[in-house]
Amino acid sequence: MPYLKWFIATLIVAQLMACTTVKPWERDVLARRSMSLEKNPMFLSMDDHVYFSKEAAAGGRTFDGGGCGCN
Amino acid sequence: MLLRTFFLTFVLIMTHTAVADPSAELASYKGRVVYLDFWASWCGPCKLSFPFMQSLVDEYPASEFAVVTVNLDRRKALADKFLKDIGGRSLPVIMDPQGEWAEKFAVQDMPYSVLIDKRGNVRFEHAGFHESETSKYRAHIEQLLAEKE
Amino acid sequence: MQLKDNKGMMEAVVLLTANLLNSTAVLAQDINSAKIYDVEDDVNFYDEAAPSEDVLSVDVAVVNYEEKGRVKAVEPMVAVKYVNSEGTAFTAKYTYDTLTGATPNGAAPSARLQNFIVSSVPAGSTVTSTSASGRTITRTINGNDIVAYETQPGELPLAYGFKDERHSLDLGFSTDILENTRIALGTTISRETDYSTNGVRASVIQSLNNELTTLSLGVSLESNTSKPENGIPAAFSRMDGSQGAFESLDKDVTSVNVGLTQVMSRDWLLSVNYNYGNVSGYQSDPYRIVSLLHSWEGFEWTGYPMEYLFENRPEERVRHSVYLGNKIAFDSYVLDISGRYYTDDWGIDSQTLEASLHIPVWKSIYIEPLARIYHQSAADFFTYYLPASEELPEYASADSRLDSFDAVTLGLRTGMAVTDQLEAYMMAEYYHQQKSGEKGVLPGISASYDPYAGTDAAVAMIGLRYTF
Repeated sequence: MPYLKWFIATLIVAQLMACTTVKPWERDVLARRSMSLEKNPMFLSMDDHVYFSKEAAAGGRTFDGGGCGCN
Repeated sequence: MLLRTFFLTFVLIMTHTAVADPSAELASYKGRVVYLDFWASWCGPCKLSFPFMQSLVDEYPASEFAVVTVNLDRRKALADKFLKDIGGRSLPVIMDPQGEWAEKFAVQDMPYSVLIDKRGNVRFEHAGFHESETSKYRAHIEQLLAEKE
Repeated sequence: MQLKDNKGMMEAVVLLTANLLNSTAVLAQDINSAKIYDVEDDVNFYDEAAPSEDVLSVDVAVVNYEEKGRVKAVEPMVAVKYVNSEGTAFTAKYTYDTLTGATPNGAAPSARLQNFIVSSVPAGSTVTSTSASGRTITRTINGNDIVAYETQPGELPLAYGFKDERHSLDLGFSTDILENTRIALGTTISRETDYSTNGVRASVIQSLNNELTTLSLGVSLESNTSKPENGIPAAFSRMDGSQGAFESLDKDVTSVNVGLTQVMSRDWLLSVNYNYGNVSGYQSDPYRIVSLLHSWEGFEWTGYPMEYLFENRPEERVRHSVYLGNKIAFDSYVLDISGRYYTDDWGIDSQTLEASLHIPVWKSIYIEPLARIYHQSAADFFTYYLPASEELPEYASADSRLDSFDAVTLGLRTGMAVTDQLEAYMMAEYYHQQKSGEKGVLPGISASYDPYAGTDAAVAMIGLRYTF
């Protein structure tokens, strides 16, 4: 599937081009618990464990970024 | 007195600005060193900066030094809860939900504090709040306090 | 927007008035007294920011995992996280797993009774057998005691009475080394009766663009040792209960991770992740077999198992995966939508799509329904059986993890702030798995049996988090 790689790359570039500038004081929504990439790490590690034991695929998300951007 | 209020309100409505020019606001603080601090309820380090700012008010004479805080929450209930949780004595708070003060002072980080000298000029800016740097913040304040008007 | 402008103006008026009246201390409480400006008083716990500095939290949780008629696992865990006032973080997590039940042994179903020999021990030594399940028998043949189990005709062969325990500890540390640069280090240690893992990881996280962009680069190294009680069998050796050719064998895993998180707008967070993995060493399952079936056409015995041979997987595996995730807020609702593409040189390609919606309820609760769809293609060397009429292939495995299948997960997560410091959470998920593509067909008289070994599973978790 050679086109798939290009499709994914285009998707990523298109998404990145859509970003707007958010001021440091406008990060109230991103700081919310509900918008955290690590809202509940126990749930995430449990899912990883279950899927790893049943499926061949591996690899997933990062946890860094977003949030309030303070300090 | 009432007439002045009326006139200014009229001007405000006509010019569609939520808060008038901050430099005009701070004019009443001329002759004193001002520690202008930008904070929000969702900013973790802000919780630690408040006790520090209260200690500054205790330390330096009110005739020479003042702390003014600017809140950038969009939901007032969150700001109220934050202030209630940190307790202690209250510091002056200017509500700036639209971020106009933040824009004018080019806030780069949260929290952000700006030191204004006795003449009303911005002299120092501190991005974020670090407990390990409080001696540096104090040094900046004392440098400005030592200056004449 | 209209409402906000008016609010701002009124506040400004109050501010100005106060100044004109020569009061320099404009207290929040003064503006508070004009309470008519409050649109809402109560804010949902999950709309607030979690404390990020100077915080100590402890999590206690337990997971219950069940496959119908197969594996059951209970997994309690404890996790501690401490972040100091400068943002340096320490984490520790201990997990204990108990697994019981039955798991497919890799053999294909057959029209006749099948007998699988686990171990053969010299006469005179004692062997404990699990008799309650009715599947494990002990008998003496030719002076040797043999531990074996049976599978009825037409059934998928399952190895019963297996019980395993696993202890796992993970430690993590992260700190800022420069104003916008962070490093994270970690180690994982895991011990089972027949398997152990030791791993280390390190990553660098760089913040750019006024913390709107976060780039991370991480490496992890993992060393695994497989040491079954009866030894590790040689590839394609017969399952006759004899001691394995090797006492233990190792497997090393090296992975590299590149991640990018970008703040797209005030309400939208995007994550992109690329993961590269290289696995080297013993990767077969030392307990899993493949049925060698009589496959010459037209005989009475066509389709009958002639031998059971231990599987053989390649010693090298290279894998790549790309992940794209979004978190988008709409009022207090958050939509999480993500996709992942995976491929490796064993011939497996997989696509995953997952979506969840965070729904706030009253002041302290959220519910989050989620759905996930997954597809994977089979490994090149995956097979349901080995035909005796053909030469043995280089590699072969009948492990359902390497089969082609589709899976759908439906779940519900929920969290509740019992107090400002105590959070309770629960999650329940159902995982449905089914064969994708052409069904496997066994030769001869076994042709009527479905060799697919995948199965559904139900998972539930309940936990508590206390933040000091």
